[in-house]
Amino acid sequence: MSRIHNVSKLAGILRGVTIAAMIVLPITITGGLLTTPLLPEALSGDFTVSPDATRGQLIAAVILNLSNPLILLWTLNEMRKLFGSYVKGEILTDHCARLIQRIGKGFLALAIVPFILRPIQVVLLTMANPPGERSISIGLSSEMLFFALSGGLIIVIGWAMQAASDVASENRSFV
Amino acid sequence: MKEVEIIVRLDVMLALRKMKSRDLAQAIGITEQNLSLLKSGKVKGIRFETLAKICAVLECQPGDLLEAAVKT
Repeated sequence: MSRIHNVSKLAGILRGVTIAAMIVLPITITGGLLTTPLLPEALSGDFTVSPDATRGQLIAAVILNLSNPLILLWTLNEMRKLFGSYVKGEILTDHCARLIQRIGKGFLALAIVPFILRPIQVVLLTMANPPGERSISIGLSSEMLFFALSGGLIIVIGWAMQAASDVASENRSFV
Repeated sequence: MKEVEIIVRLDVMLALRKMKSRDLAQAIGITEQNLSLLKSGKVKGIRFETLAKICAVLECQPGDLLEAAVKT
């Protein structure tokens, strides 16, 4: 009983933190978008953006950049729902197991989506360069690896939790 | 092999002992709702612990409460 109490107590705190992150993240991104001028220099990172890049290409690159925060927001929302269920004392349920799996998929997407979008962004932002100076960049960062492994782990835990919820459900049908 | 089902005869024992379901539920520490489900056989199983408590309160044997009958 005290374990369930501990889960509910910690989940309450984590739900608060998650909600705070869900509020802060969009504000920070909106602030960044409004204060940063849409210039090639502002988008340059480990590669040089073509100075002749069109406004449309710059906007497309920014939109592609927004995919990760959107996935993160969705994952945070699933985490908020999970912590909410834990606060209510619903722990070994099918609903919670499915939420854990969705969180895992969110983490996995945070690894896969940048891996796919990064080369597209580089192509977009260097397309205006003369032939021979255009580039494509494919890379795997430690962050991507971390999210991929964490996502895989969380999905597996979600499957295990689904098996546990089935056992708990069967146990409940015993008097 | 014949198909056999388990029939719960708890209502018969309760009638023989002139005991109400509510009193039995209180004595063995389960809810009336769960006892009602047990009486109607709508449960997947019964724990030995619960069975032992029922037998102790009703002063009977597990065989007095459960019966194996061939499915028709």
